[in-house]
Amino acid sequence: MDFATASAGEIAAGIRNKKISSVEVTEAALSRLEKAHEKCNSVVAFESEEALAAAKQADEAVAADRTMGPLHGVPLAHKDMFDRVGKIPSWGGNIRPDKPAQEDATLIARLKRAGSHQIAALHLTEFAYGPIGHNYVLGHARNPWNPGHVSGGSSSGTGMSVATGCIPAGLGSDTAGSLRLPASACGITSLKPTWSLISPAGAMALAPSLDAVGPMARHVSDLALLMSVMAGHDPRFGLSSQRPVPDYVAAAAKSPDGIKVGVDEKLIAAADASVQTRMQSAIAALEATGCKRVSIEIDNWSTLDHLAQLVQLSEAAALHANFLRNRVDDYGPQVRTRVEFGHFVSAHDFQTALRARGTMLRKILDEVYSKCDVVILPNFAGPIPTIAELDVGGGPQLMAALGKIMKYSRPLNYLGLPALTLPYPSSDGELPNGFQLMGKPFAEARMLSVGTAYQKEVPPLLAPLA
Amino acid sequence: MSDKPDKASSGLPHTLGDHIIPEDRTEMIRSHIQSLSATALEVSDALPFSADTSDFLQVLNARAEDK
Repeated sequence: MDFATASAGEIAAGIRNKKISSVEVTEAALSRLEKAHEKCNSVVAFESEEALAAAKQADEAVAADRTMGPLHGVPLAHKDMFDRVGKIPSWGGNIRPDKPAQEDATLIARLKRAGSHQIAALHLTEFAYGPIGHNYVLGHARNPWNPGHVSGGSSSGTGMSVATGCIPAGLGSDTAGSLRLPASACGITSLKPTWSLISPAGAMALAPSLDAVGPMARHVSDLALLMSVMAGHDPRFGLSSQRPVPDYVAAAAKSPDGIKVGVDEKLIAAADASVQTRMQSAIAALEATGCKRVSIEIDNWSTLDHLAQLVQLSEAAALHANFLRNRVDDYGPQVRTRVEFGHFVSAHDFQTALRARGTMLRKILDEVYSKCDVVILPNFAGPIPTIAELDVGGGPQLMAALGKIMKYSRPLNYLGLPALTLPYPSSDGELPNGFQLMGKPFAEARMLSVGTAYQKEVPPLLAPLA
Repeated sequence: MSDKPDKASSGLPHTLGDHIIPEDRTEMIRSHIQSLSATALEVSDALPFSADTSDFLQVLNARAEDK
């Protein structure tokens, strides 16, 4: 078995059937991650000793025929923003919790219970507050396909580590595009779940009304596998969804035949020409799976983008108010400026944005989703930018630069809708990039079926280590 | 006498406790926030009086695909 290209499901089955051992998979993952880190700056901390000890225990459990979870013995790694017992997450910054966590984040606990173990803490944009992977504390993340370009952020480390085949899957988070943009730039898949479906308990918050934690993977089947482990009501999160959890793995294997993909030509035309071309090739690949293309129009996208910003800026500023007053020199320039922004949003505007959310969601469901099942949109509006062109500090170019990056991603968080990111079909001379399918509330199962079929047309990619 | 900027001159805060936001950044922030605020005012004008922050979760669940 080639561990770099195998799915988490295949690795778990190999361990369960005693064809491979967890120790050998974990050793291979750590060795590959060291090389990938040299190239991409993907790791905050290696956890080799603990990982190998966990792998040894997993192998002992197999030998003893003990009960095993669906991720038994599988090495994973996650964005370094989750509480783990006895550890202090870096949050990607100089400002960190002042004492080790006493309880695992809910998702970490559920992934452990399913049998996986963590091999490293992975890079992220400072406080998950940035879409490109720049980090003035940890150093900037570098694209695994071309280190002169951005990796996308803020879930940069997970994106880079999955793309290079170090791990089959891992966790990220998304407040304005942070699962979708790194998945796009790294050429992998991600699933931003419907708001409230996946518990954020024990994950660092940025803007709680918009935050969504979710999986990133090379194979859509692994997104389904991780969703099946992570979804479900969590009493630690008061607004946690109480809906029954569908069988995501079974749903992902179903045919997407007849699913209607909404295409808003006007909105897509606001992207660069090269992205428009790639969108057409993605739509053609989706049609090859049996999906049907239908025309739709979303007439208030920029309004949604502004409302999303009002919520994000206000909530992030409130969370960071104490740190900004007392530890401002510990911030990098981009995050400091964005935190400052939120202090200028009026209470009236913030409340309006929150009060309008239900109305705006109902409008798009009535006007757009009455015609289609999913909407296809770009993630990046242009080709993957270079690191240098976005190294604009906290000055006047910042919001325009970031606005262009996030114009297709931010409204989704405001609407709370799920989004599946898939890579475009390869295009000569261009770096991998990706698009998003935006679904109805709690439509993850159906979206995963589209993604699985799409990967039969456009197989997963593996980024080179050197 | 304090050398902190005078809040009253702009109507917007320049200081957050001991943290002073330089004037050039304040201007950039003010300009961006004004465009967001204009959108919020338009939205507010069209919003029913009964619109509530809890509407969002109600719609999300009521319109779930698995309903």
